[in-house]
Amino acid sequence: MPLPKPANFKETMSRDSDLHRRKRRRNLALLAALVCLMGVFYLVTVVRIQAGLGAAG
Amino acid sequence: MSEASIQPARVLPAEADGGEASDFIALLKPRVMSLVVFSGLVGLALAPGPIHPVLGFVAVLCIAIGAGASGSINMWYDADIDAIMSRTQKRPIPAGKVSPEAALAFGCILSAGSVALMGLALNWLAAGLLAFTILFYIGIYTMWLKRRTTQNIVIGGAAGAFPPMIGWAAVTGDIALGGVVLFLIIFFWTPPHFWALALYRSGDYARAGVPMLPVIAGRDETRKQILIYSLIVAPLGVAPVFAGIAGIGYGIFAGLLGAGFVALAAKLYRSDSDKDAKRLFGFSILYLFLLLAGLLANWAIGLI
Repeated sequence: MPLPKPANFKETMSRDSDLHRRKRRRNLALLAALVCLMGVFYLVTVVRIQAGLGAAG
Repeated sequence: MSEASIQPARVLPAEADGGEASDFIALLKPRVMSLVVFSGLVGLALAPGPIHPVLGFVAVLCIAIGAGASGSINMWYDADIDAIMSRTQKRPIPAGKVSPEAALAFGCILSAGSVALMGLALNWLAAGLLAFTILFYIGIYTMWLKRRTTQNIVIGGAAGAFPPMIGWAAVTGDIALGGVVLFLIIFFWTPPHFWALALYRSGDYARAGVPMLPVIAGRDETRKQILIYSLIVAPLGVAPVFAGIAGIGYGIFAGLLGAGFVALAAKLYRSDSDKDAKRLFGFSILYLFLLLAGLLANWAIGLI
């Protein structure tokens, strides 16, 4: 016997459901945080390399 | 009520459904983080020696993330009592917006990330101090002291006092008198600050089973302790002058602020009113902010 569908089945399955919107916002925030982290690592690497070259020179 | 009779409350938080980005930001306790960031920045600025602006920014970022991460783990552990206290009921876990497991994972990842970044970008002494601060706040304060003793915030307050020392260590790679003086100011500022809050929120703490000083020892003892600590913190505020990290102008400014702190604590000692407790709580935040701002201004003037 197939399981009964929940009352908000149609709304939940839609890509524009409240759940999807919230998850999408959260995923985009996580993406932004990861991009910022990459930027921070890049800048730190450049600064440390320059400092190392300066000390060696 | 004896200390031994205090039992942690057992109220399970509401079911969480994932949470939004804003809920995860709330887990980081942004308001607490702002003061931690500011004190870390002051430690960084006052430390002798140059630091590249990018590395300075990264050091403050790591302090901020580490502080926020420990706040998230604290909310995970304290979800049961947060659900009882009116001040904390709207936090993401008791409000059912974020699951306790997600908050724990979020806090652990950020803790490890901030310590690793601090070590790789700055130095491993600063990273070690940051790791120690996070572990102290979670293990010593949140898990051990908070629900067991009236001295919870006296000893636990050390966690909030470490950031300027971390900032200092990030620049110099060592621990010096200047950093220790900044640590002591915040360490002795913490008890009167939180006890003033606890005086007018004692019902909340009693319901949640948190043995804050007013709940266990009573209001009279709390007001006496607030006055004693304010008499310690006021002269300590001037100590940076003698440690050689601030000038006489700052000393006069800090002395006046300290006199204001003691005057409000003495007024509370005499009156025992919630209004005076709220006034002292509000002033204590302003006091620390102005004291740190004064140190920063003194440093900036020295640069000109």
